[in-house]
Amino acid sequence: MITITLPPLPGSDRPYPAVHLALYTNVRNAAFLHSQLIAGNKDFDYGFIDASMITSTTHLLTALQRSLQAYVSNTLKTRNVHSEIVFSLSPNNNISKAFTTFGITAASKTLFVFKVVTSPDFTAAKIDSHLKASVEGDEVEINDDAIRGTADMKKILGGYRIQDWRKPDNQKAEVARDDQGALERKVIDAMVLKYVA
Amino acid sequence: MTTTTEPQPPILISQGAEALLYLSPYLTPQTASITKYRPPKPYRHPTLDARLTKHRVLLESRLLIRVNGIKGVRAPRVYYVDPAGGKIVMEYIDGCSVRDVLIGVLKAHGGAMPEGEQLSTEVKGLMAKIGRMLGAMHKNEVVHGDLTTSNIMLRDTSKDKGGGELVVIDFGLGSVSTQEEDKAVDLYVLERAFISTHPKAEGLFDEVLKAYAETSKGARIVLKRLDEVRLRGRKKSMVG
Repeated sequence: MITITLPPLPGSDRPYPAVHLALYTNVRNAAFLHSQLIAGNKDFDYGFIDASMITSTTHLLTALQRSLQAYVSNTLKTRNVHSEIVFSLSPNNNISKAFTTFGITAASKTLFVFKVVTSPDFTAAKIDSHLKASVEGDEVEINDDAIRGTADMKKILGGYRIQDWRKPDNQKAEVARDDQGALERKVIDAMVLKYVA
Repeated sequence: MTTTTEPQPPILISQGAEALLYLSPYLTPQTASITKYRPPKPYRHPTLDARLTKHRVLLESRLLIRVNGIKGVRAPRVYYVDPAGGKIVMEYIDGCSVRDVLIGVLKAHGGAMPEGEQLSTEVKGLMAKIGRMLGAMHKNEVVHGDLTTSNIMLRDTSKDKGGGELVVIDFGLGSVSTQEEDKAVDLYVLERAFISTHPKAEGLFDEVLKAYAETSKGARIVLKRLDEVRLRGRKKSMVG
């Protein structure tokens, strides 16, 4: 688990709270975590994102920044800052659809777990041990390579309704990386368009 | 991924009548971004002010995204938009404006703009690039509204690929229009900018127009209209 603090936007009065963040692969108890989330169990107040829908760290942080910005400016559109992260990822304003597309489902195999430090009680040690005890899966280090491994192209293209996209097939490594950047741009554009459409 | 330490404060880098431009880190301390912030205007009725600000932020960000979708034209990428807060967070373009480039060329030649044979192919190429880019932009019905040499940036060549790439900035007065008149005025405004900031650089503008003319059929019609606009100035209706 890592802890990050995003730089605030100019003109913000409040800094963003810190965020604990972890990536799990081979998750075996997604159904249980999902049920706890649905039941509103306070101990499981985390942001769960299906990692197959994430293209890069920039993509992930973009969603996180939106959610934190909504949190500090009291303009959350969903129940709390954690659900807002899932909603931020969505290219449209349908909240329940955002959850089924980008959030945890019983079938999730890879997961990003967020905990926004909205209370001094949420220390790194406490959250880390609770996650280790609750999530049955392998924690892996978060970087672009790991995310590329968990990303599911087909689902991402579908989720963001990206049509004019060629599958990067057997190209040289450099070209493939370039395509990844282009996909990331398209995805983030889709997220921005939600706010300006 | 890095764990952030002290956040650097945003730096005010430019101020216009409408907006303030801040340079600040975005997402990671290493990534620079520009925030265009339209502060509330105290002399305006608050309700009207909020509506105008929101409208302009939305218009500008939509245009930026639209322009970035056009092949051959680049504008700063939009990262985040807060319509109610009057903020657009966008890509930081590391480079200098075409204005600075031209002034540099003038200086190198002792204040005189080289003509004809003397004009370096590099500068000629830059002008043609500007022409082609504007042609592509106009072909896709985007009108900038305030084209000047300061509003066209040249990305730093020494950095990685995409070096020497032209980027159009500031779509605050932009619009989507199919009218030749609007496009011709766009070119006219740029021509005035060329003449006023570099009186000796007038000949360069012909290079821009030459490349522009070759981009599409519509472009030649726009150039015909430009002759009319030159005769009467920017305002068509002569009112106000």
